[in-house]
Amino acid sequence: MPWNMLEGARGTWEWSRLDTAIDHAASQGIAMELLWFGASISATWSTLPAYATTRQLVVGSNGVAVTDGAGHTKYDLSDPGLLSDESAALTTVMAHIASYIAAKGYPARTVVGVQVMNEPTVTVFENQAAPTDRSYSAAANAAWAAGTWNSTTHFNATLLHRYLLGLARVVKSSPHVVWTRVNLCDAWEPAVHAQLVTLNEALRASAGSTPLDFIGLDPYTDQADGIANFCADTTRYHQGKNLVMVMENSGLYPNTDQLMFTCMAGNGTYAIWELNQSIAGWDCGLYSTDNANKSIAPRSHTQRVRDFNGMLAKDRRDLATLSAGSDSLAFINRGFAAVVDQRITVGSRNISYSGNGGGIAIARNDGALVFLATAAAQIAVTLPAGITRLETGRFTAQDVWQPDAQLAWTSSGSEHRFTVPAYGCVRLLPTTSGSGIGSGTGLTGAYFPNMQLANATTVSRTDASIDFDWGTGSPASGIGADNFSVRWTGQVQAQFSETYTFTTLSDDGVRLWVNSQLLVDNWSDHAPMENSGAITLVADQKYEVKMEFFENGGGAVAKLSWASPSTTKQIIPMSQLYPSVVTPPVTPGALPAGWSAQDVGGVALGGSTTQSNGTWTVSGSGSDIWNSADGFRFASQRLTGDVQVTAKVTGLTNTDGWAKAGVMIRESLTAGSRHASTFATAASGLAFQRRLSTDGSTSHTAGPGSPAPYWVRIERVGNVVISSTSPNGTTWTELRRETITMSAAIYVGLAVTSHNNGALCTATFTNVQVVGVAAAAN
Amino acid sequence: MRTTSVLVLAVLALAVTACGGGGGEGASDGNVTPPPSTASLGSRAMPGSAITVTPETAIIPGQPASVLIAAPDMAPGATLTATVGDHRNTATPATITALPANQWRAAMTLPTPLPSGTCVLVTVTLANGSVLESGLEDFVLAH
Repeated sequence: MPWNMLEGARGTWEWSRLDTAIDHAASQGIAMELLWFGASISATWSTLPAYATTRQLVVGSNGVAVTDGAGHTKYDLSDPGLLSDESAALTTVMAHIASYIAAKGYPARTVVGVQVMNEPTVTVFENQAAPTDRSYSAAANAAWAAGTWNSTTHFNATLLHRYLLGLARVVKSSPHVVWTRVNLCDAWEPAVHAQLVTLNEALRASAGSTPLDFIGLDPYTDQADGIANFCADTTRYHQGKNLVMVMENSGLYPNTDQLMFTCMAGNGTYAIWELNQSIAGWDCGLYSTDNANKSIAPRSHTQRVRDFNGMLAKDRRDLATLSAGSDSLAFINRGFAAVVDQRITVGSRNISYSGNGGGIAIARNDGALVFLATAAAQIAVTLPAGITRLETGRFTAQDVWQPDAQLAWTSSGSEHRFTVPAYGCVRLLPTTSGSGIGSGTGLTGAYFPNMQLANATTVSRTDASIDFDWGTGSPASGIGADNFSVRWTGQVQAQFSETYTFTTLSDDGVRLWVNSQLLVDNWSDHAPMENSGAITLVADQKYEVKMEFFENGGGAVAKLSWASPSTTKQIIPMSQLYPSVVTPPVTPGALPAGWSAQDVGGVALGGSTTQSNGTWTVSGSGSDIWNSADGFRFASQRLTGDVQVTAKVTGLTNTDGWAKAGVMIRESLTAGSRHASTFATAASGLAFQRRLSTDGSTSHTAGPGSPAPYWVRIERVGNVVISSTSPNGTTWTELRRETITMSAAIYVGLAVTSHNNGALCTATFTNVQVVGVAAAAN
Repeated sequence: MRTTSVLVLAVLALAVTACGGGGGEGASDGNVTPPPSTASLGSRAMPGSAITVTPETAIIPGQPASVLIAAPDMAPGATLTATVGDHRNTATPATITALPANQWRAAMTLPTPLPSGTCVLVTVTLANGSVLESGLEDFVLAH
């Protein structure tokens, strides 16, 4: 806002231009900074009203006004009359702003700051080689004589600082107190500018002082990386507590969002300024202003700026409080190149970044890692203990995480890969070292009175660990001291994402499988002997484990240990071992121990459930498993904690295209209970269906369109439910995962509805496997 | 200000304040749906209605494209969104325009290159709160 536009003659004011700008800012909710143009680079390009143009010009030692060869002259900042005139004018402007905002009822934040001078210099003209001398006007000579100066630079910087402080104090003493700022052009008087920031920071450190709030710069480059370097230069702008505010950056660069990003990378900030579109070639603002038609329209890059700001708002607290370049906040690919495998470290975590946008990695105080990216980015992070949770979402203004969706990742050893979506925010909760300690109770041990693991077991119990030296004694009541065998089954939970070496110590034969891999096979008579095998595991994950052992004669020893880079060799502790709850069928046609079956909800026909040689036949009626209430047949176990149920749906009768048969976890046996299920249907393909709240609606995610036979699985880990399908029981595809809060004890099993109440849908299942810990009796 | 021109208006709009996050969906324009120019991407049975997706434009990586989504039997009050991608969590939202007769137009700029498995993921939210999501194998743009 040029001084002479507002004050044409002394005391004659025209406010319409300023008022229009304030009106626009208020109408758009924009916080506006007034750019005040008084004494500036050149007297020739003056924005001063006529009455002020008689003030002192910069003169050489010969007393003649200095020109740049093109006739340009410059006002002398040592002239107290010039500062007096400009201060009086700015006082009137600030009073008008205060009264206008009040009269209109606008928020005070409609005007938040004043740029008190534009690209000031002391002796230099635009586009002129910088002189190193000072002015020799009477006022300048008097100022020189009155002080002690380290150099001409020191003197000139002090004159400039005094003048700017004079204007700043006008703002600070006005009825509308806002921030004050000056923007320096990087091309001119760099030594004076560096000294100016030093002087201002020294003043800021003095109690009761009124320094300039910000000293920013106009770098005139669209080299994103270069602007970050400008901002971060501690010998010039980035001194003390000065916040470098990058502003005028020519009008030719459409990559405004990138420049905003890179300013932040240099611990600065970027402000977008608005120019009249009629100035040819200057097209850098958010809007085009058309004064003739009194219209203001967004420009092409406005949406990118909007998206970028939307991304920043997803973790505003961390971005406002952490310093770029620290171990807590890293800006990645600030040059916006197409980078592959750019390595950074944040929060002492090693991270690889691939993408062509800018990325931000944050290590929060709560241990979480946060990733933001302006374009889809591939992240690989090394976390020996693995990932506990990975989600897209945002932090609220109160810094509370609000997840949008679970995010999948792949792991290779301790490295985990995932994709940050464009303008997205991803929060990663690492598994902290040691948190992989489980809550296991041991493995299920089935003891056989023969060496062949044959026929029915005599003893079945849970062994806290496999750490036995029976000597020449009996392992259990009903089992002899010799000629017996044991099969331990269940799951082992890894503490770290590392390669584990499992070691058996046995006398006699032993075999060991982990995750279906045969690690040890020494099925022979022998004295106590160690055998080992290695497998890579992921922290917190549970793996099927089976160890078989036989004793022929003499001493009997059976022990199972593990070791990893983070685990000294030790007997696998009880906390990491979980018993199998899959109980072999005992009577053909009857349900195995722990299972029960019933109709749930309104069914017109009673259902049935049988099991024979591993094949389950479940018949159910009911209208559907959908909306707010279900009707179906349910065969289930009652388990607690983390559970998994898998089955192969081999077929179901087509009582309706939406007849369903599948695996379910369910909070209760009421019709409106929360549940999560993976179903095969008669003619509508596979699906993940769930009810998130009791008596609430049901949601549906389509899986493959295939009919039975197909494998289905539903799993609960914490409060996260994971639905998966497989055509062959080997290759599994996750349909979706969803957070569903259910009680610890839940029903886990097989569900069938005919979707045609009054008809029975008969479904058959094989390969039914349930993993979990039995819940206490109701 | 390195210009000799007279400034008429110069205000500084603080970008973070000026621009909130998020975008919006297009409103119904009531246009007549043009005939599809390419073969249907298929149909999938969903609770309440089958959903059919038919391209209205050629499928060219990096180019704008639109598809017509029809759910003829869907109960009134349903809203629809769509995303495009090869993974549910990283798919990019399409701009949705509601059309008459339970049809919607989804417009998007296709990624380039267009990875195999890229598909249109349709999400319908029913008036009772139920959410219906199509599958990753249902409406595949690139095989």
